[in-house]
Amino acid sequence: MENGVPSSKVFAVACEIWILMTLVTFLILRVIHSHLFHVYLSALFAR
Amino acid sequence: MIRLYFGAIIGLALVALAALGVGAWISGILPKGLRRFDRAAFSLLGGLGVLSTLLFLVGQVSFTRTSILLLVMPACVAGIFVVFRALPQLSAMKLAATRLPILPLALIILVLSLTALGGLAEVTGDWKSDTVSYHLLGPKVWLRNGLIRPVADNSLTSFPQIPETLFATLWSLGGPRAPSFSCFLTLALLMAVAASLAVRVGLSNAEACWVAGLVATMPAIYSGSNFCVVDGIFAAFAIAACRIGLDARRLREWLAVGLFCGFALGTKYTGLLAAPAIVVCVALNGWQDVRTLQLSDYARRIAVAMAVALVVASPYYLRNWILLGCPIYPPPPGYEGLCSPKYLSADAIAYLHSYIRQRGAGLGRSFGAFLLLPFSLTYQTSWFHGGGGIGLCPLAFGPIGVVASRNSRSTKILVLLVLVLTALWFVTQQESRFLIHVYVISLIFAVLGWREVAGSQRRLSRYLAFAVVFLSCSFGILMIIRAQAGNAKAALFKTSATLKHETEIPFLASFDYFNRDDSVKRVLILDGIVPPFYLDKDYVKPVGQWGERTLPGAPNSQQALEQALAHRYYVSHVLDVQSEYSQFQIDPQTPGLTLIFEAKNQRVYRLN
Repeated sequence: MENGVPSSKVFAVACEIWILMTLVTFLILRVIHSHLFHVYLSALFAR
Repeated sequence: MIRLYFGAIIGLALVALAALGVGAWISGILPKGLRRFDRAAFSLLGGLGVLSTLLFLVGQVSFTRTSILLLVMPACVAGIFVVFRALPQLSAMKLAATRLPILPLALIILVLSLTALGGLAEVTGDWKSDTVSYHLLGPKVWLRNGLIRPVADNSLTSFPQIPETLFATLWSLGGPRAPSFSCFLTLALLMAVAASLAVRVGLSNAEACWVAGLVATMPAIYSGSNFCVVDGIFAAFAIAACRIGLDARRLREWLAVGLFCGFALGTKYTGLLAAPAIVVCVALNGWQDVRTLQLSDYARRIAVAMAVALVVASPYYLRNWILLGCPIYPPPPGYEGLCSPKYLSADAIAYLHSYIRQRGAGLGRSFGAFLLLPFSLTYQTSWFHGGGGIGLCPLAFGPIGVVASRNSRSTKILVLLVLVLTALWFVTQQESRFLIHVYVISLIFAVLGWREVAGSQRRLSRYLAFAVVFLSCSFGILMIIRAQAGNAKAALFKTSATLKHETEIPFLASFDYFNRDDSVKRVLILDGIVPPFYLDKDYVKPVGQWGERTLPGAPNSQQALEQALAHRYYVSHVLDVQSEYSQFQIDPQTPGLTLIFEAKNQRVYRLN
């Protein structure tokens, strides 16, 4: 910590975690909302 | 078709030239720090506002093609002089453009080309389409009547009318395809204004170009800027006011802030909340300079901005007050003690309010829902009628951009403005496209954050940043192409145009009959959901889409029919339809009426 500014490495890692979280959430939601996933779920429960 | 397209291009060229002509002086009141390109864009945008306001004022007395030409043509001549004077500077601008990154430029050109092409297709849709039900209904009726007046059967035609007056002018000069064709110009101006604000907060020209590219590929912004929807031009006026305000020091620069706030007020009622928020927030930016000024001087400048905004927007609100009984019409909740609206019963107003509350509920109005908005808007866009979403960039990079540039005064001001504008939107109507100006600012933060991430020299950061931008842009472009493909095909191929015409215009057979038959003088439309936009003849619609009662004595459809049978309204024909909402209202054996035409769900009667 320097003058209240996070050191660049810590900040960079925090940014990576944040972006990764955003991307993963997006991809999970895309899969959940996708037609193929609904077809898979229907098949699973039909069994 | 070629003639229609040619007309649209000529119409837009004339209006753009006229806007440059009447807007050239705006360049002189802009802050010194603005680039040449910014000045040109702000002058054109402001010129559109000035031209529209002048036409609106003239249109209260006469709105014929002659009166439009008498105003537009001298402005066009002035515009030609402006263009010739700017020609030597064009080579410098071209040179600067060659240094811009190719990818965002390609995205911008692709989206604008698609918008222009799709805009050349015929406007179709039913009563649920805002474009058909009021954005273009007003202009069509004004041109037919030679006067700008709210159309009684759709109270939404009394909204502030800067874009609609431009649509009417475009229609008059360039034919029916010109209004939707013009949307690519307003979208381009929104991008230009966004890029200008981006440069002001410290981004380079190339990064500002990426801001414009992300604006172009954000479906939520696109859906509010295309197909004669006016949220895009509203956002352009609001962002322009904000951009100028960040550098405004002299009185004339505050005048420019007021001018653009006035245009925002003259475009949408949401400007009534956004404009004061913008003026107050940007005023805080200059607060530290107050030491060099008298406080009263500073306050005077802000008051001038507010006063100019009110004066510029006043024609729209005064007209409503005089003609419709309320300056804001349809009136907002709590109007009872303040004004008495005409043509709308208390029940109809209550229904409209409940519809707006229901449509704008989003995911609730709790504090938790407010805090979760960045996530909800990104991932659950359909709850806000998001029209394709806002992409990943604002959420992934925005907070990083804010943290990275938190010491910048302009960033602090913009964060405050975003919070205030979002809170106002949150407590009123949570409709995604009403927040476009905030999305634009969030994209500026996003590019600030992207720059920070890309500058970290870490390989993972770069890969992640690439993935976010790639997903955001590719999804955005795909959504936009999907939304515009039908219109683009209809503009290019006659078979697609015919299919669109036949499948997307409700009660087409009846409208074709009315428009073709010379004996049709005035049509009585009994059902509120019939869109009179497609009718080229005069009409009477006793009950409007929102329950408006348009005739003296406020008769319902049946009472109006009885009056028409007694030859009170000079009606020659009656249109009766059935739909998922209502059945036919007339018995074909009714004395005084002859059934002369019948098609699926529609009957046309002639008065004997």
